[in-house]
Amino acid sequence: MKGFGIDFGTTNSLIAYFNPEIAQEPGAFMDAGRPHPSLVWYKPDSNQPVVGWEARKQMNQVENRMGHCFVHSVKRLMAEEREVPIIGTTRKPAREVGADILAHLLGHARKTLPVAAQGLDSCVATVPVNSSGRYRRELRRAAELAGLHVESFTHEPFAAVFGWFFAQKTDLHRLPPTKVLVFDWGGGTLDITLVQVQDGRIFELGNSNLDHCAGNEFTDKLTGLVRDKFVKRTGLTVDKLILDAEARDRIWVNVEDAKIKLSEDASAQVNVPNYTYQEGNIYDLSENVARQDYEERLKSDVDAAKAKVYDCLHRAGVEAASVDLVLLIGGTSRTPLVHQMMHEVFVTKVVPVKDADSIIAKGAAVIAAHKWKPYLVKPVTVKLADKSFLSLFKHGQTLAAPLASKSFTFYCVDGRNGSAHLLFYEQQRPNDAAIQKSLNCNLSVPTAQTVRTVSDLDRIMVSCYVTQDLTIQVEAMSSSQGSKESVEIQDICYGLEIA
Amino acid sequence: MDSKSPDANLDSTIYLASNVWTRPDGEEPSPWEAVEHVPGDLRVQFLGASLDKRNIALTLNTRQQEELTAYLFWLPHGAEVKLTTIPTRKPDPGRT
Repeated sequence: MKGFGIDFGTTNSLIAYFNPEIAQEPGAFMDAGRPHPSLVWYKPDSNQPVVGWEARKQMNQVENRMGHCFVHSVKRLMAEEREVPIIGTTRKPAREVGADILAHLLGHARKTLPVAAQGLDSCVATVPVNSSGRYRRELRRAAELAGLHVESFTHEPFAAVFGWFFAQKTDLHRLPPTKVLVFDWGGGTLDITLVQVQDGRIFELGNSNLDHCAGNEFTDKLTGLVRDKFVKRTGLTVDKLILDAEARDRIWVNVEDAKIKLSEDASAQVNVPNYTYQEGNIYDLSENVARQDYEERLKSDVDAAKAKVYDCLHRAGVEAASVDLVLLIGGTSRTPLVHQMMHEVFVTKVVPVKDADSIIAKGAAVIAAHKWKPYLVKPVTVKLADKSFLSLFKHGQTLAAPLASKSFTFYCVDGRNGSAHLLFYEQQRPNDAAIQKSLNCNLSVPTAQTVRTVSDLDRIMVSCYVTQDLTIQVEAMSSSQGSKESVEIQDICYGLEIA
Repeated sequence: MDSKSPDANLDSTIYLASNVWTRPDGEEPSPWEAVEHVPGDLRVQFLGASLDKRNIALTLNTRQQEELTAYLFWLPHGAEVKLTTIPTRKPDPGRT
């Protein structure tokens, strides 16, 4: 009984280990008390990439940087299966950059691991809520390259619930029914999950997420604010600013630091020597930014986040007042404006999380060590023409090996627009088909357009199966057209039986 | 296709009617069972029936009659019809 948990983040990453036979709570392999920046430094004269804090320090210092390359936020690039320019014309798949980060984490962990765990090579990896199946497969491949087998995935905020309760030394079996909302706003995404703890089971009631509106965008907004102040002070024009790659790297590091500082202080200083040049003059950037000005630019994002909180509650069919506990994690959640918004919604339910940086990795390590298998919480259904719903997979369906599969035959009862629509829903409560929520996920299957008699009605053959990536793959084809279409449903609620 | 792809999100499920049907137990239906669920205007085409009121009342079920009226007068083809009657399934003749 032991396992690794991995929190692979856009800004920071961490690995944790848990063996309940030798310790009461999991341990995370931090670097001097901090998580490892998800930043990789490729040097022209070395095949060995430098990862984490050392790369971050150097990003602001390396001079004469011809050929040096710093890659950050690779998690987003992996989701798009992109390639990253490394040295000169050399390019690398984003997953290989991800593998470099994971290898660094694993190497760091193995140096300090107990001897009994040295041979351990499997883990539970955390992923954002509603992350695509493609990203999960890329993360799995990156982990394999780093020498780790991903046993299963779990949502980042869901893992945080385990990390929290283990840190509190709570006996989950004796805990009265409790609803926990996790608000995880990191560098890449905002992920919100409402979790129910009840009768030896922990399961998701609802999820919600916001893509491309997170720490990276906040850094861009703060960079814009700093640049505006610089332009105003120097009288230069924005469209004539010349920034080389080095200046862009240095301002990124400095603005990131200022952003963290603004979470606690009313103002922060950003200094970037040799920021730009114009008409033979070199300009240094040295600007002081006030938190008030910064937060002014974030207001619409925080409003969007608040809407997502209500979206999560709505999907779960739960009122804000019924939530027992709210955990704010992720770097972006430290922004005072975010705190204020969450306190407005949940009043006193928001509790401070001391080990917010490591709570996700620790939670994943707990799940890995116990080898708890996920099951489907909300039946996944297809809407039928008579407005009833057919359940593809029912409540309790195991989402682990052996992976379930099913086949169905539908009739397209109106093919005049040339396609059959499979509209996917989730049933809000296991035994009550009355409330169905759209998964915003459709599959259009080409059909014959001319339907003159009953015998022209197209049959739609559908196969659906649970994947090892905690998703449901649906494939369908019509009897007349024969082209196979598929969709992957990843936005599903699942739970773990811990009894 | 990924369910997160922009294409999937564009096709909002709010106004799109489902045009597939199968038996509630997941068993394969016959086309004659399925025909009870084709939209009213298509059912009329199948039967070659005129839009004579009596003919319609005899050949279309209540849901199909409502759909026929909606598609003829105010709804675009394929949009979901808000029924004033509760949709009911016909008893399955082949099963007890």
